[in-house]
Amino acid sequence: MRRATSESAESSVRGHLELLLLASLSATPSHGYALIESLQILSGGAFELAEGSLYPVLHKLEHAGLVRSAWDRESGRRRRVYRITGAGRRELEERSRRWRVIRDAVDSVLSAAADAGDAVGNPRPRPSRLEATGG
Amino acid sequence: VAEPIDAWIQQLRAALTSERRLRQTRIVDEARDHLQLSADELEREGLSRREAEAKAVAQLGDPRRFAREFSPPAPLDWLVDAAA
Repeated sequence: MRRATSESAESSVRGHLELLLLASLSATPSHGYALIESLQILSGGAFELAEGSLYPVLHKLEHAGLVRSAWDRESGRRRRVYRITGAGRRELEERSRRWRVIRDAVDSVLSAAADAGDAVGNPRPRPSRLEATGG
Repeated sequence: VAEPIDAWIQQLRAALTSERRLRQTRIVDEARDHLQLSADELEREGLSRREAEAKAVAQLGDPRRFAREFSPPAPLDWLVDAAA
């Protein structure tokens, strides 16, 4: 079901993984496997996460008190389900705010550079989907 | 010959020897759960059980690397960070 991911795209996602996981868990509690799928769907297929990188980050978020987890039984199988905590929601708000500041600043630089390039007759670069979303 | 998921889990266990028992059990159980879900889905897509397990473990990656990512930083890492 999943397609291969380029190394650069993968590292782009990894850099924002804590924010993405907190955002996803703020919508609904989830287990690891479903989180990978929901990130793929919510990003419109742009984010393909290396499966092995997910769990250490979830454990780290739990250690920091931003999520909590417990075993749950679903369809007769035991699964570790993660939920965002109050501290996690506050952290999500703060990290979202910081992300928007950075995104707007990068957009501003890119637009200014492209406008300057237009002014001297250079072709305007067309960012790919992942470059536009992954940072 | 061990099935792919069992073999992968054995290698993970061996790589997690420095972790405390409770934490080791949780990491192993969670990884096994993930691999079984992944293999179930791949099997539904038409792979044989063995092919599905082999692909599921390949997607989760090398078990030693997986184990390493759970390891806390070495005690002196903060010194290196501070000096950088």
